[in-house]
Amino acid sequence: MSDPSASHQKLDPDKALRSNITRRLFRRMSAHNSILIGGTVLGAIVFMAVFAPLLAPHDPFDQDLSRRLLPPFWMEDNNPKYILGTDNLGRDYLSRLIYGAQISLMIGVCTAVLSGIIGSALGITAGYFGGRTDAVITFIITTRLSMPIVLVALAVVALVGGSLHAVILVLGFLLWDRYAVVMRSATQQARNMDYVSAARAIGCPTWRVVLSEIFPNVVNNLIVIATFEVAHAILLEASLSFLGLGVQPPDPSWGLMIAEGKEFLLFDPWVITIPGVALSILVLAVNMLGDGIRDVSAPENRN
Amino acid sequence: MKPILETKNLECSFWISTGIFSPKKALAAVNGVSVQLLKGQVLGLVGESGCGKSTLAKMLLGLQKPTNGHILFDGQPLEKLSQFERAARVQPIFQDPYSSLNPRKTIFEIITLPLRVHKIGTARDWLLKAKEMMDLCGLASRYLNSYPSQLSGGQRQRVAIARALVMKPEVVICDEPTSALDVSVQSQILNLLMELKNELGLTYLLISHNLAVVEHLADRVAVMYFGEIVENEDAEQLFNKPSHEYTKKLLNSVLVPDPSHFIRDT
Amino acid sequence: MLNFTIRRIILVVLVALTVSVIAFFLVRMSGDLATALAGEDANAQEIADIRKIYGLDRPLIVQYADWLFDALRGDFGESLYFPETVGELVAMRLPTTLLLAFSGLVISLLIGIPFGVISALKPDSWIDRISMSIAVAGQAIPTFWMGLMLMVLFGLILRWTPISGDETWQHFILPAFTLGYYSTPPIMRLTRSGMLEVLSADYIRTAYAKGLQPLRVLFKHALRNAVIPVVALASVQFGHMLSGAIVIESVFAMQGIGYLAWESILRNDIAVIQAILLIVCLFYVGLTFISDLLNAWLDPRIRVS
Repeated sequence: MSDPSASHQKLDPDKALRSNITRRLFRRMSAHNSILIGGTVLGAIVFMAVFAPLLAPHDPFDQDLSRRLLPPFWMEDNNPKYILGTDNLGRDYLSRLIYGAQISLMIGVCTAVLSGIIGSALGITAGYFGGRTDAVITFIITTRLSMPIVLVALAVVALVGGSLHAVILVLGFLLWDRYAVVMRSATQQARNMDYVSAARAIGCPTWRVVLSEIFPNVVNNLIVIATFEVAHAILLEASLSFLGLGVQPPDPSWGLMIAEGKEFLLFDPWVITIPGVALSILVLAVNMLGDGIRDVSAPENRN
Repeated sequence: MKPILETKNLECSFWISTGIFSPKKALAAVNGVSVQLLKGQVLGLVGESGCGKSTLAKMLLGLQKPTNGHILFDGQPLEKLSQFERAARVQPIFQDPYSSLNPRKTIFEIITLPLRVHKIGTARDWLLKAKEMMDLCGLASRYLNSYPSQLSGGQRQRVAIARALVMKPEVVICDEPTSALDVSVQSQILNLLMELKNELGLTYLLISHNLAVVEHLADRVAVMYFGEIVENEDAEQLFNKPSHEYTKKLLNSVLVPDPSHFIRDT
Repeated sequence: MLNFTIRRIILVVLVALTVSVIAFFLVRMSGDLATALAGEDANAQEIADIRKIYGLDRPLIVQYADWLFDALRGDFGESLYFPETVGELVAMRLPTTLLLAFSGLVISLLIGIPFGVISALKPDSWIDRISMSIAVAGQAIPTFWMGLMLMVLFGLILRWTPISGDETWQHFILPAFTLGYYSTPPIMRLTRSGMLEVLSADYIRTAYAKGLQPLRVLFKHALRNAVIPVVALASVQFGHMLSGAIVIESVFAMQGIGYLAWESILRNDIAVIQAILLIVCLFYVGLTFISDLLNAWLDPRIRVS
């Protein structure tokens, strides 16, 4: 006969207390670790992007077909002048990689800001005023959620022509839904607090209640979502550029570089490996940063 | 004597949906309430949860629009007053000290918010005023730059009181001011409220479901039941010789500790 | 529950209509259909003629209504590049995409749920950490790149799977895995948190106290309750996979509607784009509806909000 208590921890209060504390400490520490690691890596990439003209050994647009597809330094037949090799048009890969960081970061941040403004405005308005306003805005959110982003983005970009600005605008006007949903519920919670009633009883005008009383209490959520949306936008831009409807050649978008390297998959797989790894590292860093910030500031939103 | 605050047949109804194809029904949270507050008086308002006390308070504070009836300040209808004028004359103290203070603001910012919104005085004046109010409410001035999370429940309620009184209003609506506090702190806060009333010449509407508190502090008591006032009497009269059935039930439901009944040692 | 469902259906119809309007106008704005139909060397007269023939000179609202009513009957017009009608095209390609999305979903559930359960049984253990790390890493890798890398590894180097195309079921392995991988983390996390919540519930402790076998408790009681929100999430994730199929089909050269959409967008084949956009949106609307119903069934508070 099996002993059911064997498979289930005996209740030892000291042990339970200790393991609970260590668990919570571990979680807090890993939150700080996440912020540290994610922040450092992200910082390095930002540094790379900002100082690209100084760091890049060559001009990323300089073509020379005579030196096309030189392999990177860890393979034979490499040319030490071009550490990461060259692409199919003879352009230095390392330089393109460094400049590509600019594109990814620009798009990530600008999109996150634009969609953040749109989404927060909608969400806070819906959460504060409730009633009909809320119903209308919720309908708008539901409609937006019923549309596949990639498909719509592709269609619109095809309409206006692919470019950095087009991608930022299109994604900015599509990626606001998470902001709206979270800001709405956070605002609703804050709205029910007595300090909002007290402010209104004092005669505070609506704009002041929203900006001064409610906003500081919901801005934590905003920051967490913003980091995740940066990552989201970076990945989407890479997909769009890969499909030819994002940043246009000869710009060194990492997604575009992968597309351009697709033909040489068989013999020179490093052409697509390098930008892919770069993208993954960047997005991972941003996600870690976001996870860490969330765990520290609003751990109840973990799932 | 003219009442400083008066309601005449005040009504507040909400529409409740009763199903997708049936028409909406009207639910009267406050139904034909007429009460009067005389200057310097404490009017207690008692009733069970959900009887409409809070809705009535919200209407008096201008936070909820009545669907019918009038609210008069010194004879003047509430609609005629701007939100600033109204705010300068009636202020609230809420029940939950943990949700009535903005966690992201310092005590200084919280107490002086009315002054800043109404643009009364300069920054220097605000600092002096804040210290004065904290003194009046028994708060050490070292808490000026603290955040609510650093204060206890009793201290937070003092901050709420300071905020309510900083503009020297005439009427203070106290919505269950001590219900969320420890028993030992409750009496401190209640005594503070009475001191301030006498010192500043305030008029209170004291909403509470705690009959002992009301008996202790109120001059008159109104009993509310399902949105209506069923009895409105002198406090002493009400507690000793209640006339309405509901009031009697309410008074009888309070359990009174009786030390003469003890458990025998076995 | 019935009340809620009826209200939801009305909402769904409204959203579907709105979405159809957007789909129509968005694509129509991309260019003059008459010019596109007439071809490169057409003169003004020919373009005007075509406009008349196809009814493109009527007010847009009328054109929209026409298009919508036709679409509801299955008539999506004609493609500029394919001999088949758009309806036929979509009918040919849709099964591939649905199969791909479905396989992807199954894979994400097959990986996500067990890992989520194991993580919940031993929270903060090394296996929990590893699966969470895999989840976090998975969300950072661009899907199209992962597809390409897997293609290189398993198709070219190891030769375990075919490289591209969609003829046999083996062709679906890599694409489905790539597609499903992106949805695995949310499913894993939701399963984990749901199980954690359920396992700490009193009725589970009662079951253990009664002396029931722990495995049996797990499957009969805990999993059943934790799984409903996951099913609701899976419904929404299926929609995302339909969207992600665009990229994956392009990578693996599969003849689904995703690839068709991409080709048509590049070639401005308006009727096709409109049709695919409408169909995918309607799928989204339907899937979100199912997800909402499931969540409302589980959590009655949602029904009254």
